[in-house]
Amino acid sequence: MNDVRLGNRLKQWRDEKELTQADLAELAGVSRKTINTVENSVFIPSVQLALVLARALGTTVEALFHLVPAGPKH
Amino acid sequence: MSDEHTDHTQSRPALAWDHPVSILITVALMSVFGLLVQFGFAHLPWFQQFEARHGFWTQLLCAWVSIPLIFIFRRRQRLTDQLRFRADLRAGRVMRMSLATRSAVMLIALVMVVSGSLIEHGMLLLMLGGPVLLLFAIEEFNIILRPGNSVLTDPRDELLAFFKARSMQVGYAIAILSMAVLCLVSVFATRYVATLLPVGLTLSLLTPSLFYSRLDRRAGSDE
Repeated sequence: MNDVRLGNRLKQWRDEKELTQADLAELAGVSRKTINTVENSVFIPSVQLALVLARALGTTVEALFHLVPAGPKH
Repeated sequence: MSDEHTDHTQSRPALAWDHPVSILITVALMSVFGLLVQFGFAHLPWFQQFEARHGFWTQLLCAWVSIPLIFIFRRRQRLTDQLRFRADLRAGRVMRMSLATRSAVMLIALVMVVSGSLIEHGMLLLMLGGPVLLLFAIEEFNIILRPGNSVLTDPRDELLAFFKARSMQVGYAIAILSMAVLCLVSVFATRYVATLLPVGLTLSLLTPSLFYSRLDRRAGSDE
């Protein structure tokens, strides 16, 4: 567990769907701050929130989130 | 899932007093009643002894006795105000006092308490600053437990819970550190413990609030 961290493609999916953070927040029923922190890997969402985000973007959790080797964040 | 209650256009401060006339009438009634109580009690021997011994505290006792008046007079108005306040709370229109104001009041009260405990005739400063500091300390503790701008926070808001956990961690660390410092001070200079205790309390409460504010500001930065 220590050698990996959670990465996400939330921004790519959001751009693909032409949604702003506020739009996605409204679709998922969360605050824009939540979307912003998840996108920037500040906050790891629960399974429930991950599923809600995936549904809002019309994709799967696996497509949205993935494991990356731990190291300095970009 | 969750929502934030920060962007309400019709928000108002939690301590807004919309009816200054109502407050003036209540205060006037309380004063008159307090004077009547004092006048009535003045014939009782135990009260005369108490007045002879304590002087100033007699006025305070009479003021406290007259507090139930608030619950007797203007009951209908008060109940209407309460209902409106509850509706505002549910709708997220009631805002908390800003962190800057809370910090300023707490720091002023702290200075009063610390200087009151250090100078020779500092009882008045202690009497003024002590209750204010304790009141704001309780409120700050309540805000740390229920963070966010809205008074009624959404328990399902994951981000809020995450920020709360982070800021409480900071507060806990500061509290432990403060206690360690106080333990050390108590070994070498016991008389400063009482002076430093409110400093530790203030730091343990304000630091997590400032940390939460920083986290919240960074989370809200533009995409």
